[in-house]
Amino acid sequence: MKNVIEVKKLNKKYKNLQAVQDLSFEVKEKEILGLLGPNGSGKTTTINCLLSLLNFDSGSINILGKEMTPDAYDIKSKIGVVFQDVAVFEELTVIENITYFCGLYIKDKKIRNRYVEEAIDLVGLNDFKDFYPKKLSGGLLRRLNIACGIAHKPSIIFLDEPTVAVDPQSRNNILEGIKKLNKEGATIIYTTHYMEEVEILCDRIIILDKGIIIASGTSKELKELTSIEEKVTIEIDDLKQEIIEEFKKLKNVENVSYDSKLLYITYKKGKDNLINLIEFMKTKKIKYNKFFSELPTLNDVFLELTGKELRD
Amino acid sequence: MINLPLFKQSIKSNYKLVLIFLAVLTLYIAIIVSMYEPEALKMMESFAETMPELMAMFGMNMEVATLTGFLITYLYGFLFLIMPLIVTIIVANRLIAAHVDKGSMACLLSSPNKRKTIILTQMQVLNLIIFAIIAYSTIITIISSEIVFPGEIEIVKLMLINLSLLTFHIFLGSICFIASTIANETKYSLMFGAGIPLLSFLIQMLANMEGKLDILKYFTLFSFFRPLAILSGEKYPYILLIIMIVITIIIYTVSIKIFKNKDLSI
Ligand SMILES: Nc1ncnc2c1ncn2[C@@H]1O[C@H](COP(=O)(O)OP(=O)(O)OP(=O)(O)O)[C@@H](O)[C@H]1O
Ligand SMILES: [Mg+2]
Repeated sequence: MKNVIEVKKLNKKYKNLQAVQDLSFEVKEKEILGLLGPNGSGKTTTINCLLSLLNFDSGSINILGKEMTPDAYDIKSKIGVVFQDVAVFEELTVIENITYFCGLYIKDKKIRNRYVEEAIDLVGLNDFKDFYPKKLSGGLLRRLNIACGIAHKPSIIFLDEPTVAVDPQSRNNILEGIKKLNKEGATIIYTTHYMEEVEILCDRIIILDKGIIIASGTSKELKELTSIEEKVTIEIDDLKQEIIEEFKKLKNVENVSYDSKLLYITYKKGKDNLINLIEFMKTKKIKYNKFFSELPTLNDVFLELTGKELRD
Repeated sequence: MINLPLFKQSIKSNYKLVLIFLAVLTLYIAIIVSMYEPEALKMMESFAETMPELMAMFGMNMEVATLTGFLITYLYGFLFLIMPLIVTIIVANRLIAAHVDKGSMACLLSSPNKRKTIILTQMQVLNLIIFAIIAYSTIITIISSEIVFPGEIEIVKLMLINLSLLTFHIFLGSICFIASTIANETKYSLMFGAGIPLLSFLIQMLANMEGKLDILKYFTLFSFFRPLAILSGEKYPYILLIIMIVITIIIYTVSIKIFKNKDLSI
């Protein structure tokens, strides 16, 4: 598949803070690329550089086969951006806001009005068309912000943390909307610090930390980077210290902890871990109530690569 | 060169403010014009005698024998200077700095619209609003004078004075505008955009008081506007007018340059 965006060795410094360092990546046509990273990892800075809103120190950015510059208007006309901060106008209603932002791209009034209606449909703001932003809840406001950014039917869409501080209902609506835009043919660059979102949404993920790409690939590929096979949690009413020590000696066990009736076991890569575990508890006649096993998450990947949690 | 959606939005977010100021101006102009009568004048004169400094501070130390002179003293010394200036300060801040502050400027600049068109649009909005206020004030002044004292007003002189007033406010507007362009936050935009003209006005008030402070008049922007000199037929106000136009053009040219290279981090 074609690359629609190519970034090579991008560097951006704010005074003496290196916000982005030697960033190289590409975005393929019609994929959803996730930029995952904790606060301050350089996601917004990267997007602003890609949009030529920020001057950067070195590196190159190509979009749709051309160098991106502040006056690359033909490229800009094909891009849609949903910024992290909601930037709608208080004095305009929902529909007026979308019309204004769409009007920056689409001059033909008829087409524009149709696009605006379609955007309202997509984000589900039909019942709020004539509301002023002040009257909208946080989630609805975010949806309006998204509608403003995508109404002109761009082929490349940047979304910068569009689900921050949003209720679950709006979040689902937003994620569904993004999938739909992608199905209709848009390439999507999605930044977030919620790993669950990139797992549901993204074809490919780039993990950023302190302005550096620490890993990239599909969610499956990334999880293979960890040394963890699975994490098991067992509810056991009473457990003696010597038994806990015996758990630690089981094959492939990386780590064991016991806290308020819950036993946590982390397994390294290996086979038959759960079968062995159940067998062991049978022979030791250990009674347990709940038992469940989880696969490693992107958070585990992040934890292993950086030594800290993705979210604090 | 104008961006229509932006132009409409800018007008929409500012017209209410302008209308409020126009309503207040209408009221004040009507009151001041109707005060041109012997009774009220006598009262004013006795005011001037008891508190000459205070009256002088507001530029009210002149012969007020004719209606035109009277209006210059009581309208152009304070009201016509401060009221449009307040609107200018608020609007200029909204046109650029507030957009940057809020993040809507980032949306604008990532759309396929030239930065130059964007800033020219906002410049035109500001100047259009200033023009509307001065033109409206001029018309109301003339109409109310003609109603109350038909034939008394020196229309040609008044028009020349208002032309100078318009140039003066566009000149002040350019200062507010460049402050709004340079600043990335509303607070800095207002600090300079409002600070410079208002401080200037304060200095002007001090300079107007008789005495040693007279020298201050060389340090205030308000010395560029000389309505009484125009009334008495002097030529130097027209030189000041040309100087203002030149400075305004320079300031706006620099504003465009700054805006074109502005780094927008949000
Ligand atoms: N205008 C600026 N001036 C100076 N430093 C900045 C500026 N903008 C961002 N930074 C710093 O650069 C780093 C990267 O910031 P950036 O906003 O790109 O991170 P982010 O990944 O988008 O974070 P968040 O999840 O909080 O939005 C941070 O340390 C931030 O404090
Ligand atoms: Mg950010």
